[in-house]
Amino acid sequence: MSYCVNCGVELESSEKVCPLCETEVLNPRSPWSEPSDLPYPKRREYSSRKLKKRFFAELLSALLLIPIFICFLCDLIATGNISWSLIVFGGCALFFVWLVLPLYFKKTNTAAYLAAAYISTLLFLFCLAIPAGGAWFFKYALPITLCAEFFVSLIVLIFKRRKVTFLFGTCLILFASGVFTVCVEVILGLSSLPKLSLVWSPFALIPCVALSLAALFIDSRLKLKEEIRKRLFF
Amino acid sequence: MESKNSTPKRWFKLDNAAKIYPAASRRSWNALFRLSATLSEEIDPEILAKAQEAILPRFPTFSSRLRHGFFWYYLEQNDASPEIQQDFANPCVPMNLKKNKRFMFRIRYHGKRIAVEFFHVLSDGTGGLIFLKTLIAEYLRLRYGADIPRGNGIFDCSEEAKPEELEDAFLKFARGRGKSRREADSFFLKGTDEKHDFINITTGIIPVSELLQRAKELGVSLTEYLTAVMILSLDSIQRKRRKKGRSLKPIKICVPINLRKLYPTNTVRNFASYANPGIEPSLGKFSLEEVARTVHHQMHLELNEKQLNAKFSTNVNSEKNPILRIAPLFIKNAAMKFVFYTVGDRKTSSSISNLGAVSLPAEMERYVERMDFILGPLSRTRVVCGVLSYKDKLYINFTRSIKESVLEREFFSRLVKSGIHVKIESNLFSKED
Repeated sequence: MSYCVNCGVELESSEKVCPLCETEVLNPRSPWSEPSDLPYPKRREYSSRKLKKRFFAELLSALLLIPIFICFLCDLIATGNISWSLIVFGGCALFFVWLVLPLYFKKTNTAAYLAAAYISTLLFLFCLAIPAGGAWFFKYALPITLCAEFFVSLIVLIFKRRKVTFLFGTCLILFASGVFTVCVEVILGLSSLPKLSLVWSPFALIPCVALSLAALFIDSRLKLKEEIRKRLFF
Repeated sequence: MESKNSTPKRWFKLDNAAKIYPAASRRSWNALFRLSATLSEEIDPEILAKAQEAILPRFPTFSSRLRHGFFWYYLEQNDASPEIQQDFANPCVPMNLKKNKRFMFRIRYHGKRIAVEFFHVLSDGTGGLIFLKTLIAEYLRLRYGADIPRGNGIFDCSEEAKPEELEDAFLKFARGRGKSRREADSFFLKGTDEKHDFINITTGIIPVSELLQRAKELGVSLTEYLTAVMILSLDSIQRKRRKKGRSLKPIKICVPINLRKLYPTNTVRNFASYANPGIEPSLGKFSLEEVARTVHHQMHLELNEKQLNAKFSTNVNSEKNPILRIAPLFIKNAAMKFVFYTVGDRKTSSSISNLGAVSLPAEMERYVERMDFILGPLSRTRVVCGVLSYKDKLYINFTRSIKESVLEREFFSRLVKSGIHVKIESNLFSKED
């Protein structure tokens, strides 16, 4: 049996140093050697330290309540009723549906998520339009939003159906963006039919189409792709 | 159409004390504790697995999983079979419930030792001890054909679980009159965090008779004596580390109290309260006799059925509050996390949990050489202590989540200086540098 010369405690045979003061065990009559049966195994356990998605979602949800509450309060104090703060509430609700709500679910159903995002966006815009009579919602906001939702759904569908490389995905998004800008100008110009002319959208369409074709071209040329990757990696 | 054979799964509400644990659990505090028994021979894992299978139906709350309701967590029957695991160098690592098949306990073995780690949602030390003793009894029966008499904390697995064993005794005995939880913050030990979830376990093995004699000389109980030594050790450390101009903070030790001794219940769920005896070092330097007397009187003031009832009635009143009850679970969780952060273990410097003398029937005792009780690390309190005695030896297990062993050194040095023989064992050799 060995004792710690510093602490005066007896030490089990498994102790090479005193656990209390880390003084080495020096017993000339029985030098320390590791016993066959140790009180604890040598292998250690490690806990998984992933940040829980749900906790993050709950935290974000709680944080979103702060601007809503502050704006409601300011609105009540300034105007005596709830008016502009509803816009803040709507914006936060939209942020919640787009970014926070999916975190509450283990697996996200893409169709359900997109549907929720589309409906919440339309609702928000409709609520914005009500004080002004609602005319611009049906004339401009609704068709533009539906158009955007169409392109987003198309892109998501393509991404889900086939394997999409980075460049092909870029090509798709750029092309869709270019065409979308044309659609926006057409919708905005519908009131001036039949004299519809595209003024500003070609300046967005042409570069988008050019870049998307360039991306498609590079994607189809493996050697060129490799060469660019070699020179531009970081 | 429902199948004739399908029966609804058994479920239970969490007891009053258990409600805080899932909400307040965080990376640094997982509310785990561990009970182990060292037998006379190497453990056979296959027989251990069979023993586990035999006892689980007898402990329905243990064979359950934690589920979210809209307003509260609850326990639901878990039909999976938990795995027997090999032990690790660092016990009480946070439990991954998913990997553990949603069970909130795990049975591990190493050499001749069987250990069970529990999430505090299931039970307290006393309930956990009943589980361990029943497991050992079944293991010995299967391995050696030992006929272990049941009763006195060892359940008969051929019987059904009794309703009184599953009751929430807090709700049953609370009388509605609560008391304030207000207390000043205590001194707490700071240190360098251990890396990679390593927890230092330092075990002091002491002859019970020597310790009892010292306690008797001062006219206090064994727990009070150990608490006094712990307080003085912390006081000494605080004085050494005190910066100029800073006042000394109170030193208090959390001492859990088993309420089963005061109320007629056989519950295996949580049913414990606590006392926080301590001293005000700013008043001066206390001697061991003074601290022991102070602790003794404070404990006796607290160890009063009415005081203890008021303490847990406060928590029961919170649970029954209509506004709190209708709050959704995620709001309750946020509130409890906040309360735990502000109150939690800030009121005490450390904790000593003494399960007392563990007695086993003679038929079992000849196979069991040693028993240990280890607390999992707390949040702010970096060093805690689990104590029990078995076969005339007291096993004091310190759990430490910092590198520095100052408290253990002070504590055991004081015992040695008072003439008590202390033997030390640890898991230090398995720590990577």
